[in-house]
Amino acid sequence: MKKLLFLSCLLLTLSGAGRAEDNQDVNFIGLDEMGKEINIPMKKYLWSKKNQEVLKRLGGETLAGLSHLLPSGEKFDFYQFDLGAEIKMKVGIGDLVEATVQPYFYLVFKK
Amino acid sequence: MKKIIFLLILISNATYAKEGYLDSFWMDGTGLEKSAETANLDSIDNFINNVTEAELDALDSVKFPVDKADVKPKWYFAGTQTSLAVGFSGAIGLLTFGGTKSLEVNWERKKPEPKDKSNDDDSLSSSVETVTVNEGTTKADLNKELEPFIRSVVDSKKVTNEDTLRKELREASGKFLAYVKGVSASQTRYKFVPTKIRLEFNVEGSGKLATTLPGLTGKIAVPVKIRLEFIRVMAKAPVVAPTAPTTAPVAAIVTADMTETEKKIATQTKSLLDKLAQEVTLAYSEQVKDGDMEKRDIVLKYIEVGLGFGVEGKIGLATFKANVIPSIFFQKFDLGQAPKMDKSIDEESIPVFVDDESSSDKGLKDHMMNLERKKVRKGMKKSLDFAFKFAEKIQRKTEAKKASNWKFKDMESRYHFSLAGTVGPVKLTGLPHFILHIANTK
Repeated sequence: MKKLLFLSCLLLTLSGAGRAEDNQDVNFIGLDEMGKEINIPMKKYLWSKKNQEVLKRLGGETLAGLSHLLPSGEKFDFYQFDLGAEIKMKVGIGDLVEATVQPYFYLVFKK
Repeated sequence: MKKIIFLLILISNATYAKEGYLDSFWMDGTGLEKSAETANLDSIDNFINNVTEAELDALDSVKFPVDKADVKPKWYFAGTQTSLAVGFSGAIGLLTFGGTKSLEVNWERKKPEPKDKSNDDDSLSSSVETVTVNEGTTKADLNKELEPFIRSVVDSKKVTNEDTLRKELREASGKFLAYVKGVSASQTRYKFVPTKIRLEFNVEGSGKLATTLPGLTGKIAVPVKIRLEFIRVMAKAPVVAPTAPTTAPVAAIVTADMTETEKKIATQTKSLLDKLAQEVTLAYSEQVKDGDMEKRDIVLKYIEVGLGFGVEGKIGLATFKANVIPSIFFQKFDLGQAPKMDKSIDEESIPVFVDDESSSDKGLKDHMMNLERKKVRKGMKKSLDFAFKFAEKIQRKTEAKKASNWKFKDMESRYHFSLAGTVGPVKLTGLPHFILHIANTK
């Protein structure tokens, strides 16, 4: 019986430790077209990599374009430009199933 | 012995919320009673850490090309925004597909680029064409102010029916001025004061005004958007004595050119805002102790609430949904006082419009219910607790990445009242009743 109690305590400790272990996933959440909730995990490094690609491409190109399209010194001068972006990515959620995630975010440019 | 083992297992399950999920206490208040004291966000620690790291890593990895324009000031990349959502059973994630965002986090550079200070704007939110009114603005003044906007959208062919647009704008702006009268007449004795009212709407091609949904993101095509805004001028004089009353002189509501509906809106707005100012102040005073915010390096910038006007002619707290839903911003006012706790107000009520999600097969239906003030206060306290803890976690995580050139700037956290009267972060299909705006002070 003592063994059983010891085992239970061990299990209890391990269950707590398991919860605290470093989970490297970022969850994507949303609703499908039927209004059903979807949750898809993605590895943190993968999301960071995708995010970098978007920032490099959109950020770099927008910045270059802004200086030419909206230069300073005009009568009604713009001072902030917000760019809403939505990217589509295919992610695997199993061996066979693939899903598309579409996170959206804003990039803000100022001068 | 078996009983002890069973009890241990039960405790282990009750103590921890599932990894990546919010504890039920935050969602609907059904958690253990002791949660109020011990509630934490440990179960979403990893999620917050991973999102913060991924965001900062991505921002740090990008070296933007040097702006070669020979005019100054130059354009630069100022920051980005991340949207988070909470699922029906408490799962938290980056919002994708569709649905309502629960939290919006803004990131900015640690060292801002040199820029033209005259254009300094601390908001990363989108700019919208804004018409600002003051306490003396009349209907005729406002109609005149709106004329250039009407002309520009009609000339650009974005709106085809000018008469409809003119009629709709006239009606909406008349109501807006009535709300402004209510705000201007509300008392300023407490620490939180309604200092701003904003009404934002989209204009459809037919000239009709359409709803703006601040809680939603995504694929809503918005051809034309306009915002009406009133900012209250607050006294800046120092308090002479600590106990001196700080009730600023409040003008009576002038109802000269108002319709019966507008009169109702003005008087009931004042009455509701007086109650809310007291409740927000009580909730904040009970939740935040002196010096607490300085230690946390975060600050509550303002609380934004939605107001609705029911078919029965009653003003109440509403979700940011229906057309002509104004936002009221409560801001901390240094000259205000913390009200003494008066138990007799607990049983009084505040009208709240709540969506009945059980009738979703027939479309969501608004219900007006009278919620006890103590329940409203309890909900506000819980929301403040959640938002502060969440912001603090992001703040600490960002701070730990010393080498990063980016930091957490501010966030918006959105909350919803349920039919049962409890409050929780707004879920995927819900719409917020109020929004807490929190900023990083470091």
